[in-house]
Amino acid sequence: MIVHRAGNISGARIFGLLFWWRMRYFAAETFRLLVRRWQTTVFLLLMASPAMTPLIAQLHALGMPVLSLLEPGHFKDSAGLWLLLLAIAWGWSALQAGALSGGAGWRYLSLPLPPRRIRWLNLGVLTVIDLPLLLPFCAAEFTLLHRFGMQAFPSVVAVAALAMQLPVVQLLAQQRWPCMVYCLVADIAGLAAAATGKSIWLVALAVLVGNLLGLTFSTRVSRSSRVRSIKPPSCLLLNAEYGRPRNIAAINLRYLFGSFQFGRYLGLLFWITLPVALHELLRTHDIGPAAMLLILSLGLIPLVLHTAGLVFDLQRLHAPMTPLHTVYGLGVSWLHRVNSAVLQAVFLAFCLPMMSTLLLHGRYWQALAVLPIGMLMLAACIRLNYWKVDRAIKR
Amino acid sequence: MIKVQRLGKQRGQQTVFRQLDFAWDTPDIICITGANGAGKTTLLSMLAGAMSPDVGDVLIQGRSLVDQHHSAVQLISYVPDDCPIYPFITGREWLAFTKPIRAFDANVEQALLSGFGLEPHLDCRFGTMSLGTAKKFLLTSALMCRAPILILDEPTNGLDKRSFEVLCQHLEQRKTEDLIVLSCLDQAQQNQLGARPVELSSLERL
Repeated sequence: MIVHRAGNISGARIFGLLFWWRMRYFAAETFRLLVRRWQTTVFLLLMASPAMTPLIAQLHALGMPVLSLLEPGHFKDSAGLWLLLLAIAWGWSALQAGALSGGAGWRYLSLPLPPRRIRWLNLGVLTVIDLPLLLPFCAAEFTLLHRFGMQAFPSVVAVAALAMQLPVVQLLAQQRWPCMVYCLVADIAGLAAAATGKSIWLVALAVLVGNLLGLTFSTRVSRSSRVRSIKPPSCLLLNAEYGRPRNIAAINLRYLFGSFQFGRYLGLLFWITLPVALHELLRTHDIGPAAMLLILSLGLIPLVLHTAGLVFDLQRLHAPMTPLHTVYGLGVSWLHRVNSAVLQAVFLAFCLPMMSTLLLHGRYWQALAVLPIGMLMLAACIRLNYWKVDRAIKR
Repeated sequence: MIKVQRLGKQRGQQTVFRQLDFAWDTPDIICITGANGAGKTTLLSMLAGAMSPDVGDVLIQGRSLVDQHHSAVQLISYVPDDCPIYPFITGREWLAFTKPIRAFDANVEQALLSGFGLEPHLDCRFGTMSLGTAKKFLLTSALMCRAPILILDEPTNGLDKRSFEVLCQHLEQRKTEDLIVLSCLDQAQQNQLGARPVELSSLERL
């Protein structure tokens, strides 16, 4: 009989297996997210395709913000820009916290690795998901080498040190955010050195020291992420006196806007408030009413696509209950109709800031046509999404 | 009460049933028995109308679950083997949700709530309940309905001794009027429930 002792498996192999687990879970979750936002993704790809710009110019443009960090003479600008990049990195990982967690199974796993190794595992996972964020850093390095050759080696090292800080800051934000202070102080010192024209090696050294200090003092591995539940308003409590559609609508609204979902709707919040912000920004410029109406109305498209994407959330909510609902006579098509009605109502609420901007502040009365058009677009997108859901179920 | 005609179900490449053919005409407590994976849960969910068969039909007091689904399911109360209830709603809300769907007996509801010891848990959310407590809420919502056919999939899972006795008493009272079809792996519990065991494979038409 062959007995495999725990010691027979190397630490590196366990590390590899656990890393593979986390990446598979992340890929599955992200794919689900992409499926939910497929309409938005296609729209953005069509709008933002830089087919007309040469690749080198694209890379230069992409790396520009990172390169400006190392330029002398603009300490405030570079410090502000760096803080913005760190905030984006934090937001990026916070938005994907569920996918990064490794799932329910990860919590119950008694990990056969020391906390230090787990920290490296988390850093590895974060580095992989940060690849889109690291693109500007890669582009900056390419630009430096393309323009100055090996003379730019110290700057290349400094850019690499800055890039390495993104996953470190994300990890500290998840596990022990006060340790971020070490990184920030070191960054400020490094950027100040760059701004005053001192050796670029100092920037790299300061950032690396900050990273090391932050990681060394973040000894705690995990932080409890329990969210206090907020009691829903009485109109959203289920009641025997209400009809079935109203109770299902209340369930939908509580799920969509429950306290545990807040982090997922930052994008939606952005699109809801964008027309108001745009109006404030553009009204000082000399823009004609027709152009203004067109610009503000364009904000409707991402709002429609985001709202239609909520179909996938609702489908996920009701899927486990479908057999029981069927016995209660609440069929799938009936649920689809109630869900669609809820999403149309939610869409109307989402449109309020845009409509109030267009009608009350801008006095663009033609904007009254925007709402029915938006609702028709939404109905079509919801129908398309349900078609995808039904096809997935049948498969 | 229940008549099953040439019922067949395929799960992927695997045939769960080829042709089930049977009828249960009188009130009774029937316990479907069989090995793990034999298809007990699949059969019960098809009898309840929660899953549609690939071929064949189930008649509930003469109403077809395939052609007259809406009117046929009015005669059924069903408790699934797991607890799929929305995790953010409370026990009280779940009972409130089911009440407008089926006619229910308020006295039975009250008796079951106190018998199962559910009153302190009425305002707990399903996400925070133990399996046993959640199961008791599901049982209460199903048993308080005035349906002549009860389909209970593993109803004793997670129940404590006192709650199991309450369930036995309730089924004992109903077995003279209603048809109760359940699954339960524990033979001692089957006996205590007074259930007549029926081997799943014996229902297959040869």
